[in-house]
Amino acid sequence: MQELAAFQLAARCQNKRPDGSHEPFCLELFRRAILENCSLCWHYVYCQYYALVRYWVSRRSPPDPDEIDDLTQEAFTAFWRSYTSDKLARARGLGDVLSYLKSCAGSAVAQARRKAERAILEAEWDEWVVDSDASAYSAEAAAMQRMSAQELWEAVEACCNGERERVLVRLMFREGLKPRHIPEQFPDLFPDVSDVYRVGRNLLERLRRHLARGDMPENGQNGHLIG
Amino acid sequence: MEFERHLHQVLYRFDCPSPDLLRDYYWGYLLAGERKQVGTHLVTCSHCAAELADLARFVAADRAESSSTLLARARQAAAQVRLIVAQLVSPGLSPVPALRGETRDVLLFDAEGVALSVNLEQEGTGTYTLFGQMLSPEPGVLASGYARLIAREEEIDPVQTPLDANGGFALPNLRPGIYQLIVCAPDRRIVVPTLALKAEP
Repeated sequence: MQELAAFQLAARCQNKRPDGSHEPFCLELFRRAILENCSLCWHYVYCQYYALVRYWVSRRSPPDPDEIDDLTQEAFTAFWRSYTSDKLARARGLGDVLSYLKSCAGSAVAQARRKAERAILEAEWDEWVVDSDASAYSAEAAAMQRMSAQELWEAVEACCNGERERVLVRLMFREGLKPRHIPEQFPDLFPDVSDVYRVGRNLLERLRRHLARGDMPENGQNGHLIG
Repeated sequence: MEFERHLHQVLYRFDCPSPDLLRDYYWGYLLAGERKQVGTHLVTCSHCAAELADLARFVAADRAESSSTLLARARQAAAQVRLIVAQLVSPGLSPVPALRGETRDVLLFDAEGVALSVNLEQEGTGTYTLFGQMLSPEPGVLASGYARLIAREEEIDPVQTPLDANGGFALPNLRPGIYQLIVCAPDRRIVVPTLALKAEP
């Protein structure tokens, strides 16, 4: 096996047999591609499995050929980056390697779905409007721009008065739940959607004031503020 | 409104593990610390819990199918494949196509009738620019598209640039490393699966 050239391995790998006797050759192609970073072996891995990965992707993504090709490429890139020698050493056979490659197709599609969900949410968040003139909030906007996501999240939590507001910011901002769906999941905390809007507005106004002044409360020290 | 929009943009799933991390969690490939972190997150995040369950279903889905069925389906899909894996044609069959900034080597790849040449130039401070040129006998084939270079190290962000009107491109500010080059033109996608950019000896 070690003495075979890459093209010989590829030919034997391609010659699929019901008894699976071709599989060691395919596995050796993967091994040389991953361990030796052999360009020609990567070439044959792509040629051999691109259609299969594309098929996997096509089952889980919109029927846009360009998008399918993009995601297929991303699946291969994820595999190329992630499937290291230690992972290969744990593979019991070609099936395990291909299953991992398939899961790379799954994670590429999941990444695309996250992006699409975010775009949809951004388009729909217009309904979540606090009466405001955007230009009037330059101070807090500037403050927010300087913050990492983690810092901003800590600032938002620090402004919360009690559990109800903490639940609301988690559902609204981290999980992207629409206001009208929150009473369905938490009827005890929010009997009606108007409660969601009222609590949310109070909290956001408080957050704005703190950001504009630059005096964020310590987490959990905001009980004295009236929303 | 911009205030709320910004909050949503920044905070939506801001602390969720990436799909790649979830995948390796599924396979049990994470180190103990990472595994614990992801496991803790999964308890409170319905999005990630659903993604993980979806991945598990997806990976398991074909196990019941025979490999011949799978291959038949893949062959059907193959009819739609528009990917071309570039083959190195010069300067020889090096296991890893490699470029050094100072030697002005040019690598030439063949991609089913389209030639792709790449060369590397040092910028002066340990960084390099990768220059590429697509050559096609058919005029206009490469008039639009982009070139994308992806580092094997996940910490390095991919870089991308449009092809110029002649099918050329330049990717600056590169560090030595192992990369993957993808060139997308309207009717084809060409990939160089692995390309080493080497530091000065």
